Amino acid sequence: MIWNTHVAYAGMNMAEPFNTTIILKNEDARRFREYDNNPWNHENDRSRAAAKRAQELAKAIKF
Amino acid sequence: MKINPAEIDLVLLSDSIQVDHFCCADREGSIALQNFLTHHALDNQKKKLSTTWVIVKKSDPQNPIAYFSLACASIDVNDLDAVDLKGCPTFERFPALLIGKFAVDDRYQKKGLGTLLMDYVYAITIRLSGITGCRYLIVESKPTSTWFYEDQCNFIRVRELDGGNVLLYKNVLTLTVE
Repeated sequence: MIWNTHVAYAGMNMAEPFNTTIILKNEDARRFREYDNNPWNHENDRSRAAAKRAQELAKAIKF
Repeated sequence: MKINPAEIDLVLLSDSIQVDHFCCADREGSIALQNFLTHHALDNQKKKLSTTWVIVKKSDPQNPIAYFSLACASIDVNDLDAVDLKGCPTFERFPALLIGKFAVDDRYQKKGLGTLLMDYVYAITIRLSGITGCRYLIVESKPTSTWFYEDQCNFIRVRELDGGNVLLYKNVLTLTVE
């Protein structure tokens, strides 16, 4: 029975999980810190409007 | 003609959603985004590897016209010596949410659905960040799609990854604090 279960898993058409760990070094880390210190510097009217819309949508999402 | 936001719904992928007719090929002809939804998304969701949210028209609630898949992630800053910013906290690790897939059906391109879809990604991120730590939104984009994340959504480009995709991120604080 255990053997059958193992075979069933081995034959499944399974996608790779996403790469969920992002490692930042050197120049990546420096720019990350610069951005993280004041991320609002990179926003504009379009992105601020999107955030407003999303805040409204968030109120109605059920999970 | 643009899609009217009032005519669509966001729903979590389930057995009742008909994914077989979803059609999406990138500029090089790859149908990886189509295949993920039709073959892997629900299976991955049941295994708790990712969740997939689909946009459906209220008039046709079984057939998705766009989707995105999300997973928990982290940003590890492994080179604090590279940092010389006074007053900046020097955390080594940041909780994040990864946009693993993001796609609009070919028959619904150029109707504003990408923007609507990202509004929903932001909305889920806002809700999630009220429940658990979630400082960053991350995406690995095809090179041909980075214009959308950079120019339309103000993501920050990090670098090109092995395999050609481009890593980008966005601080969730910009979504939640006015």
